[in-house]
Amino acid sequence: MKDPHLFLRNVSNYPAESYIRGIIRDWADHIAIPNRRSYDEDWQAHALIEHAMKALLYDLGFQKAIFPMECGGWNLGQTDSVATMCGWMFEEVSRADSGIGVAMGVCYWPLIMIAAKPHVNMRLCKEFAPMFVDADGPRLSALCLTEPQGGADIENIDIVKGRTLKTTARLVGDEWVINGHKLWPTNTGGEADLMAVLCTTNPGSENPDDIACIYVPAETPGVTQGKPYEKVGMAADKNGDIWFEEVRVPAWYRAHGPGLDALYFREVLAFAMLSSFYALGPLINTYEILYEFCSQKTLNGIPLKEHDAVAAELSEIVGGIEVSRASVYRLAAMLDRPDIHGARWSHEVVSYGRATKHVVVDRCIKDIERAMDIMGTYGADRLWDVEKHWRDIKIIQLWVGGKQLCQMEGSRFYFDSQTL
Amino acid sequence: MKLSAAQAGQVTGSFPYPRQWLDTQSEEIAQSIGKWSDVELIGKRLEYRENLEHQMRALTILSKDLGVDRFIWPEREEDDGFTFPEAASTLVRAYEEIGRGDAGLGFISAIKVALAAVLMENGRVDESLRKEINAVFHADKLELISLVMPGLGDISRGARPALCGREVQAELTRTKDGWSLNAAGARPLNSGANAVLYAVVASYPEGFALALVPASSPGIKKGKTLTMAGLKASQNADIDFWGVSLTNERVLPLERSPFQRLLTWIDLLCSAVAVGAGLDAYRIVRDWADNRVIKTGGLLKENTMDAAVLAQVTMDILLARIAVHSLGRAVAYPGEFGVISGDDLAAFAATVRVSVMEQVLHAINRAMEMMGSAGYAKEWNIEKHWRDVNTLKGTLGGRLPVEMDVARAYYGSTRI
Repeated sequence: MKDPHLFLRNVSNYPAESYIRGIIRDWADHIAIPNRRSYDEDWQAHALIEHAMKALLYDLGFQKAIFPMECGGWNLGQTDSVATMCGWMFEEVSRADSGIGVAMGVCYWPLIMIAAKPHVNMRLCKEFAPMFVDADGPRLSALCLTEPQGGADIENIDIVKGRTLKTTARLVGDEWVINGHKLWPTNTGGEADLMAVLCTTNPGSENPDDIACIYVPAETPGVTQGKPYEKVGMAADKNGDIWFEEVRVPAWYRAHGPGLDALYFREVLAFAMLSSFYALGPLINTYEILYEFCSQKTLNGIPLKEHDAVAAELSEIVGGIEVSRASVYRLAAMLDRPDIHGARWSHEVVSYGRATKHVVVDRCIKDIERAMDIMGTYGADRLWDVEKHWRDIKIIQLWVGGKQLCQMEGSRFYFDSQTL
Repeated sequence: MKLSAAQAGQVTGSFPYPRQWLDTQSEEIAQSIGKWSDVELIGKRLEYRENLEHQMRALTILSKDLGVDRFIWPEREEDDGFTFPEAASTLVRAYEEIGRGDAGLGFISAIKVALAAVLMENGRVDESLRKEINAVFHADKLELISLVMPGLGDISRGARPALCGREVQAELTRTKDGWSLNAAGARPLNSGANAVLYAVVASYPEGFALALVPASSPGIKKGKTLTMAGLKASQNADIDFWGVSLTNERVLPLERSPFQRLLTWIDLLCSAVAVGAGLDAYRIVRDWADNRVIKTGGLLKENTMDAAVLAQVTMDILLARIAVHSLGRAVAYPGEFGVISGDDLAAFAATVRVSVMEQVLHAINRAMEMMGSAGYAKEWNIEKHWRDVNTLKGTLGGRLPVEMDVARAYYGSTRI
């Protein structure tokens, strides 16, 4: 029997890799995987999902990871391997359940603005870290971008330049007063404890100085989280409407200030392209399932994996895993070492991330569809778990501006397009 | 100056199909079923989503009130009803319309039609058999048939006889009074959990047979109802048949040719169902493209990249529809297509089915891309078509067995 975790062997020389992969794999194999077939029905209550989230984020402590050591965190944001380590974590968690992978990743995502070097805002880290470090249970953060009037426009910052933002921030004395309506942020639907809200200080402006990223604790008066939406998958990632009505927070809750918020938001978008790992984890698990399936099931009396025609398809799947991992870990390396590859918010890094994400996630969907086809009626059967992965990763393809924005941002840099 | 239709942005494109293959009555039937789809299913999706009771109510209206069951299987030989195989094109249109509303309902209904067609085409409808089938088609309430077809085997069960390269899941042995049926964990195509009759393709030492098994027979044990990605209307379950006794009348010899014919009918009708799902997905994404803007003002459909994706959605469905109508005509009148054998037609049907499923799945995948988050939100309903079509695609056996069928038919392969 081949090592079923063939594709989860270390990709680096860091001693931490085996340790981190090991503890998450133990969580996955004992807590998440045995229960994940019931997660779809748990999309509102989160009774089962909460148990798995608590075990991962609180008991194992992953919700602390992004914060600096001075704040009680694990200093992930200040290492030279933040993206690569996120890769290990996201792959391993998403192998069990990409919805939990996303919830975990988005716990870090909005905090990249203030907790990643070289632009750590220590005052804000110290303000918000206790919420996660000294908590008595799992805590989640959310990044509020999308608004009702236009899906991907806000993420399309180079072209739209924030002029469609309708969520406003008005400086009144030493407080920001926020008004607006956001849709779809991960970890909302009643789950968010801390939100980073992208808003404008001057509606209709194209000046990057007017784009603001302001942190809002969920308990702040005027914040209303709507009920979660019902989706095709990823039940662990709740999404809903959020309304901000005359929400007041201290002026220093803005991430960095005029110009810098817009600049570092591009870095946040580049980190979002690590979401390829949320699709790779499920594909790797699909390989593990296929190994068992194709050894056990026969066609015309011969195990499926011994049919040359099936083997050809299986080869496509393993090729997809290997090539995709190589390109996504390269993105992680680029994000880890801006001293070598250029700033994380540079056009080159963002474009590489976008181009990689859409190709990798497309490939993962195609390969899981390929697996489902080989499995025939069992492919769509929840008992084999592959159809869950298929439903989940379709969501990853469609978010943060979807496939088409990835294509445009990819082309912009590589072909010097001016208007896309 | 008056704007032309194109300048005014009107939709002039249709999804053409050869109308001369359908008479007026066939179109009327399709329109009537289309109205049922619009009123009972599409118009009530937000209210009922995939509520099983609602789906069964809707199928009862179709089968009983609109009389589809009566036309498929006339109570007496002299009663009016569809003539097989000539009704194939009519049925393609009808099942497109059902598929627009709900592919799962289309699927479980298509299985009944395919069985009825094969039984009638083979002239084996003696009185006792007719009475048996009448109990399904002419009952006061909706009744379902579950079909257990050959497919993948399992290494733990050892080698099984194969029909067209597909391993048979059940075994018949002769007894003093008739037959005994045995199978462990057989996976039906559909409705294993709630059918009143199982139609089981089984092997016996001299060949193969179709066994008609009442669900109430002693020795039948149903597994848990399966949770599938889509086709919710098909409540399926694995079934054990432990020494189920059958009279001789319930066991019909099934040579290769009628088995292929059964596959052909299933391929045809399920392809039509998938095209219907694709047509409704097109309707949903067209509505989206008419109303959503990109880059601060332009409609999605006026952006060249999005227009290209939207076009691909259409192109896939358009070609899939032409293919399935062509297959319908070939089933009805094989001579017109120069189809010379059952192998030939079965390979054609399987090719169309695999291509149609892939095209429609691809179309819906791309349509979902256009809709972003709404693509995966249940509220917008397109994700349901996506789940249904991929589930249908896998349930019918995927690509590999079909490729082997085609290789046998077109290259004379004998050992695959």
